Amino acid sequence: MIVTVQVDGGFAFFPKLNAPQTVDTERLPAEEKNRIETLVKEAHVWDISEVLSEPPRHAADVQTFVVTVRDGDRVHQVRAAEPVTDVALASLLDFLLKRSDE
Amino acid sequence: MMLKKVHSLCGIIPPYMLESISKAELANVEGRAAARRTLALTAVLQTKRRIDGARISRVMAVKDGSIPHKNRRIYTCNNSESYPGTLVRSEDSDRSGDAAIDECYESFGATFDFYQKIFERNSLDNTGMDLIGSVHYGKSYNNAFWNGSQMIFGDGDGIYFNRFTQALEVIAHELAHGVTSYTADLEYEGQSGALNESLSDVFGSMVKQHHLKQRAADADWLIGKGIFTNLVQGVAFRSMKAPGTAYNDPHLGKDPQPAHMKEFIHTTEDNGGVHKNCSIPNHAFYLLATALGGYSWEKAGRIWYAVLRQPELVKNADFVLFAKLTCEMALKMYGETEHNAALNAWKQVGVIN
Repeated sequence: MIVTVQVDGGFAFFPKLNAPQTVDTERLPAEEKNRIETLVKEAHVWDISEVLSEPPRHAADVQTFVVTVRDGDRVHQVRAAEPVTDVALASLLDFLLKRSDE
Repeated sequence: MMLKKVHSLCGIIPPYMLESISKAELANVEGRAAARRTLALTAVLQTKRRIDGARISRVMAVKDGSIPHKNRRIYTCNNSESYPGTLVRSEDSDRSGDAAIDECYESFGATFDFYQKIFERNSLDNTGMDLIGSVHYGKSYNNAFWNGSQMIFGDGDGIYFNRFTQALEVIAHELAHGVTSYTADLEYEGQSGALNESLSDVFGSMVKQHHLKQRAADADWLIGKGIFTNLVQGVAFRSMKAPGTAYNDPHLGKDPQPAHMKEFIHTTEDNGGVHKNCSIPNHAFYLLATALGGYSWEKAGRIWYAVLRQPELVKNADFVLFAKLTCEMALKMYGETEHNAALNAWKQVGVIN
């Protein structure tokens, strides 16, 4: 499974910080692979709508998180504006973003 | 003894009668003294009534927005992602001792004062809207945003970013989004979105210059100065004076902002590059303000503010429309010299040929 996360928007644009971060779970140690795939499953990423939430009308500088999962021929993308209220999706984002910081 | 009971604002004994008793030869010393005390008290109460009446009128006027009056409320999210959070400082309260809270409070004040003194604008909506800010949002959160009704500020990760309340122009930038939403309400997408962002930078920078009493020629024209930690090779998030030069860092990348339309960035990211292409109108404003000399808010700022409130500035306005309106406004408000300066500024950034 290939999972990509991107932070879009916000007060400033930084080419490297805003670049999509991709992880191929097949190339990860078993523990990390299982962790990501479990988080994807718990967040029901394959089943939730493509636009989970959008910034409020009149809002500005709000960040939007974009998660794309690819498994073989299946591809699904989810967009969610901050604050992400879906706890399971927030956990997945938190894990992926912390991982990309390291 | 009867006189001692007369303490009501609507006294039973009329003042002229008390006046007579206080002076009457027939009344004993105690009676005259009591009458004088009652008269004095009545005068105090009547004055109080006038003051109370005036205060009530003022409160009502403040409430309906006819008298400008700051009403700041600062909350802490306690590093959660839930806002507004817990109220920690409100109008006229003492410093909290928490840097983010106090910076937010003071910068809200500087921004309110700028709009009120320079443009006679009563808060964001021009009817005295409360200024609400939430600080300590999230954990290591690297952003600040306007959610349509209040501002939210992160503490930064401490690695690349300090807290976002450190820069006055960042706070003023977020508040300016409020002003835009109550005026032109520019759509947050593509060129109108970049104009929306640019207006926040322009007014954010002017608030800082006004606060520092800086002339256009002396200002740094930087947005987000001081938010980078020492680890970052850069001075700020954006430079209105020299777009594309604010940072060049191994971790963040190179500042991608264009200074000219020929470098306009076509992208689907970031609502069509609103934080990238805003540099084009930003630079035009810088060029105009420095060409006119003096303080940026004296002429260039007034032209921009007047256009922001014009119905001709439609929600999906592009750079060309905004440029045309500012040039027309410069001619209308000032004359040929200012009109030509505006035209020249927009030509230099390639918006007008």
